[in-house]
Amino acid sequence: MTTATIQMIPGEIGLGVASALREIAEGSQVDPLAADLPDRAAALWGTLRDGGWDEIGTPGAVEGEQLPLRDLLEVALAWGRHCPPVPLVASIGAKRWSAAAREHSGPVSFGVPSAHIPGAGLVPHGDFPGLRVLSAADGGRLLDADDGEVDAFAPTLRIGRGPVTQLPEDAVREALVLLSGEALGAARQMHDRAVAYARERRQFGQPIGQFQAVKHQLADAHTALEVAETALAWAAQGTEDPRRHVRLALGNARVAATTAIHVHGGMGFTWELGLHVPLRHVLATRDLVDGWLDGELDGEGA
Amino acid sequence: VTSVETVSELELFANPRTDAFRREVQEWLRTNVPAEWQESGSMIAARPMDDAMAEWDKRQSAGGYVGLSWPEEHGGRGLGLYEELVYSEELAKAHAPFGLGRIGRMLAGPTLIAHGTPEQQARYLPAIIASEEIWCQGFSEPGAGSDLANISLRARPVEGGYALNGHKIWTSGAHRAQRCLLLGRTSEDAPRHRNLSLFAVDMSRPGITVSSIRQISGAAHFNEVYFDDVFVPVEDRIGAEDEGWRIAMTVLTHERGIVEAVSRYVMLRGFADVLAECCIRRGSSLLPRLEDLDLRTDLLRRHAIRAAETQVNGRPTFPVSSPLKLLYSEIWQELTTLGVDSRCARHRDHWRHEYLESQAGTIFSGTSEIQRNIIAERVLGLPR
Repeated sequence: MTTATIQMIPGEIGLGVASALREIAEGSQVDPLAADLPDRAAALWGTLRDGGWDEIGTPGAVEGEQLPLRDLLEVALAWGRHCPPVPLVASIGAKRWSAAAREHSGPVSFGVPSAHIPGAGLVPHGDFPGLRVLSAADGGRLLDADDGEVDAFAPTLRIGRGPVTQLPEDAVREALVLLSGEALGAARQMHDRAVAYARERRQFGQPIGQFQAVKHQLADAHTALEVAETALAWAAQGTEDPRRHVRLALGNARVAATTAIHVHGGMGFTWELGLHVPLRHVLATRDLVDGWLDGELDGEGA
Repeated sequence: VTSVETVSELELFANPRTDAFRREVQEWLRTNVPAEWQESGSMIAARPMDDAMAEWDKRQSAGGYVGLSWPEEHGGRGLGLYEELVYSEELAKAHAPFGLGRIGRMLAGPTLIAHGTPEQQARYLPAIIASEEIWCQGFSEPGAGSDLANISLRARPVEGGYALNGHKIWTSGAHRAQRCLLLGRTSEDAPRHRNLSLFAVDMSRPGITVSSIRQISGAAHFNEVYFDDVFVPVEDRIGAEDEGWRIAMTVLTHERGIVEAVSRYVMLRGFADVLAECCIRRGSSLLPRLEDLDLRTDLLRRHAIRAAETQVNGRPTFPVSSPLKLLYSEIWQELTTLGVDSRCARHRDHWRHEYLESQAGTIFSGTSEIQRNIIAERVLGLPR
């Protein structure tokens, strides 16, 4: 009989780190659409670096232990709720896996194999100032992302091109959980805003959140987000291939995020309201990890 | 697709206490569950008759498996939610039903422990623990389904107690029950939610008539119960007069939802396995639906475990646990729909029957519409 320890909820340390980072993100006032973005993003990175938050997942970082992935998932979820356009989640991963990444005080990202272009790596935050790209988890070096090749569709992710980082299966699982966790946090942020909007926005003389047609959409979105979190919490356990769980979690995140757009009605469709920023983060994350997920179902004996 | 056996080997509640408890339960079930149930191969054939069920209840009592999480002072074993989950799961894996004692164990007992007088506890709890008395639940009425607060069965104060007049419906097990946990209207002028009282009604009292309801599947699990001037002594009122709604709600939202979901999971896992092993072949156009349902079935169990861990660690649980009923009832219907869609010759009768039975899932214990209202109002805080 196996005795794998399953931890579906975060530990106290994970909750504490998540809460501290939530405060930092809230206080940073980084608006991905504002003109002062580069300055504010650089300042936020400086704050994170000074606090050592990019090394939170490294071996021995917290009370001599390595934080379990479930706790790091909580951190990614909390960070994703604000989703500042700063390579924190990628750096937490890279610095967890590699001594070379830890030696670099700046941000470190990694290259996810493209599902479409053989040999090409997709690098989250590819043009962030000072960003290096890890070549491999074991004995890796730090490289530069390719110049000028950035997919700016999601301003919070700005996916560049670069080398494919050689990662063992465990690190791929961690990367999938962290990137998906941040995206799920982004969807959760949209859901929270939709709930608040449904309480305030009045039509026909009452808050729209009093109508069952709206209530039930938001209840379904809540259910989708909760199940998605369970799927990622399970993927974080390492007891089975995480891919189908990640796929489901990102699918549910997209559904809940889209519901949030619709609950906002016409306002949700405006650039000005800014809900498209987290929605784009969710969509771009799905594309980003596609190279790791592709073909996953082919080998199943279902 | 993972089989039930593979999943069972993974120790999800990995602490020595629950692991030891699981082994104890497995061993006990192996020697105590009737062989024909165990050998039925799946949940499909496990539909024991009432007499066998009553015997099974007694056996569970003798084994010490009734009241697992009840305090020891009330005859329970003083264990926790994890043990309830382990027992529920192992029971279903052995194709053994929970038994006729469900309402007593999961609803009446916890209500009496929380709100009963010492006299009521002494009178009723030992008989639940010993499976000597079966309880039924007298809540729903023809005019009070989703709108449960609209109960109109009159409980009129009379000398020494109350006179009950009215009509209950969907009362599972009423034809075998000695006791009924009943909500009745004690006040004609008090506002909604403050006009009901909760009673422990002796089903042998004069004036009670029980008749069964046949369902679309042909089976008859439910009853209607008529009350014609039935006297209930005041000692059998649970909690204060007109406080019945509040008490009933605290018990209905109790942790039973998590235990219930895990026990449903095992049935659903069995359904998914039948589909994977027989009804849906490699290359079938139905395969993507099965793969999706297979994952969501696994996630139902994992979600219940996450809810249990959340509760045991004293963190806010309702945001996590509130979707469980929606999840299991809808997965259940999707699985049986896939079953009839598969047109499997070998399991045709099974899927026809289960398709019809599963339609109850999104109606009983709060319809899916009510579940969504509950999530929207109590978790998300949207206006009523």
